[in-house]
Amino acid sequence: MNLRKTIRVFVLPALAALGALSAAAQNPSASGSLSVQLQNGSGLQMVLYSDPSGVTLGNSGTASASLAFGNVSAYGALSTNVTRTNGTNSFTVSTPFDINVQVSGLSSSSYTLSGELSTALPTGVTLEVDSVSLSNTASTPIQAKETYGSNLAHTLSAVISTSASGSGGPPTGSTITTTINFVATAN
Amino acid sequence: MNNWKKISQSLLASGVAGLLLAAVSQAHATTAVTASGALTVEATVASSIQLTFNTATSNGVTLTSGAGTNAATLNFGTVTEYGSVPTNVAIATSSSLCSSCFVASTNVSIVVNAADSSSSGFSLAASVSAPTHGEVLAVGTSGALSTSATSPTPITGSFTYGSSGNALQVSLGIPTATADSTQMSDVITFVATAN
Amino acid sequence: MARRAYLCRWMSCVLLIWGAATYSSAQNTATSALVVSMSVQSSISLEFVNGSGAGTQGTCTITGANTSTASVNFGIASLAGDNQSCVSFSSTTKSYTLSNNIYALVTQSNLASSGYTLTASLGSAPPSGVAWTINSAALTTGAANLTSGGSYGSNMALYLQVTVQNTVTTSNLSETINFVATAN
Repeated sequence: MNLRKTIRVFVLPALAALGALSAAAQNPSASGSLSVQLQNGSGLQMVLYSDPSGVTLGNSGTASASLAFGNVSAYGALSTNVTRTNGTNSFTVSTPFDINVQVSGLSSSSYTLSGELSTALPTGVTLEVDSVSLSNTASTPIQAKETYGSNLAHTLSAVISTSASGSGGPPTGSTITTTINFVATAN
Repeated sequence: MNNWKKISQSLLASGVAGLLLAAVSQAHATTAVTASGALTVEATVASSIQLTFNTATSNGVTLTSGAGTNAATLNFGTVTEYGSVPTNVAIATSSSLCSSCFVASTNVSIVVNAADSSSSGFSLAASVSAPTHGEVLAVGTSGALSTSATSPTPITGSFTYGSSGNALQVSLGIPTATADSTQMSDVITFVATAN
Repeated sequence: MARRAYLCRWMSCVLLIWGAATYSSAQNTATSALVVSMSVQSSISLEFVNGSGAGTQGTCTITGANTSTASVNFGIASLAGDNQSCVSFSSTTKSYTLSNNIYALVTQSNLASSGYTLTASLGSAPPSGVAWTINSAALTTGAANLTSGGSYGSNMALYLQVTVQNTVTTSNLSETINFVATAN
């Protein structure tokens, strides 16, 4: 009788306390797993940059930039970093800009650069990149083996007739705008 | 039998062609890896004219420097009222340009080109920096040139664009009281304005 | 032997009580005692949930939401971009980075804990040129501590990013990220 009482009064509570203690000694935890599906594909990235010797681009460092020649004329003052050569019946204004094409997930060592105008230019104006005349009807190859990963300078030129507007020359006093859509294709 | 042979040959040929075509189209269907960028280009074309100097082909002193540019130097050389006369320089001992002076004259060619302009001609005006020895300068029949750059003296005449130029007489009226060996140096600024 | 004898006596005693109860019912009274015992344990749970902006750019909708085993699809990516519009994409000249918000909800029960510690580890080592982070903490196959003071019952934002260098060849970069929340 004394033994049972002893067990009930002392041992069982002690065991219970011990059990509680052992449960409390280990902090509860929970786990979860998140599966993330990702396929690394292959692709090229083109970024347009201002050239140190060229006109400062709008949105330099993106794939959609703008280049403003400003006022151009055969004999008048030009914007900074715009150069001019005068020909017999035309003059050419030029400025460099940079293209950087990066490659990922692809074992290509070079790319082909081509360009196409978004709209037709007015009479008396042609646009050239690296002396290659561009059109709005087809993409024209500009460079065949460009290397990836560095800023490569290209020369943008506008060849402008010196004839008067209506006589083969361009309109004067109004802004001429077009967009050159460049495409780099991995070789 | 021959017809069957022809038909089978034809079918075989067309089958091979079809296979080749399929192979070609499959090769063609391989997607090229590309990147694109767009550069918007803007420019405003302005009409402009250009004035340059050249040595006049007739009765003109050879320009010392700057021929074909808009900053040239014309050197009359050593002139005297009664002494020897430099080549292509004319001396007049009297002139309506000035009193108590003699006048040395020579021709210069002024070439004006226009671009992207429908202008058919231009007007000329000129001014001179303040003479320091009492000399008087004139272009053509302008009379004494203005010393105000903002109010240049109109040059009378009908001028044409083009590389053949417009010969104009430049005259220098020198007071007879000018000391011997006096060095005169003046700058004539021409302004061409398209009509 | 003495211990067995004691147990036998104890069992007899129980039977005796039961017999007494039967007997008592005849007297319109009955008493009984059912001893119920249990051990309540503290516990916490971790589940992944969709945030309020799920489906918009930067917060993809996860599958397996409200469970502890979820997945998210980052799609096919390269320097040219990602084909999943819900994944935020950025790139430099040398790499691209995909970013997405994931939310984890940790709840507790029977616990006096005021917070939890959350760690994460990758299920397998990524190839060279691929780096995973959550809340800027780099993930490896070892446990990376994400927080030591997580609040129970509140969604914890996990800003998951993976940066892939352009030298990494076309390949499957899928990963399983294992999370462990431990009560403080």
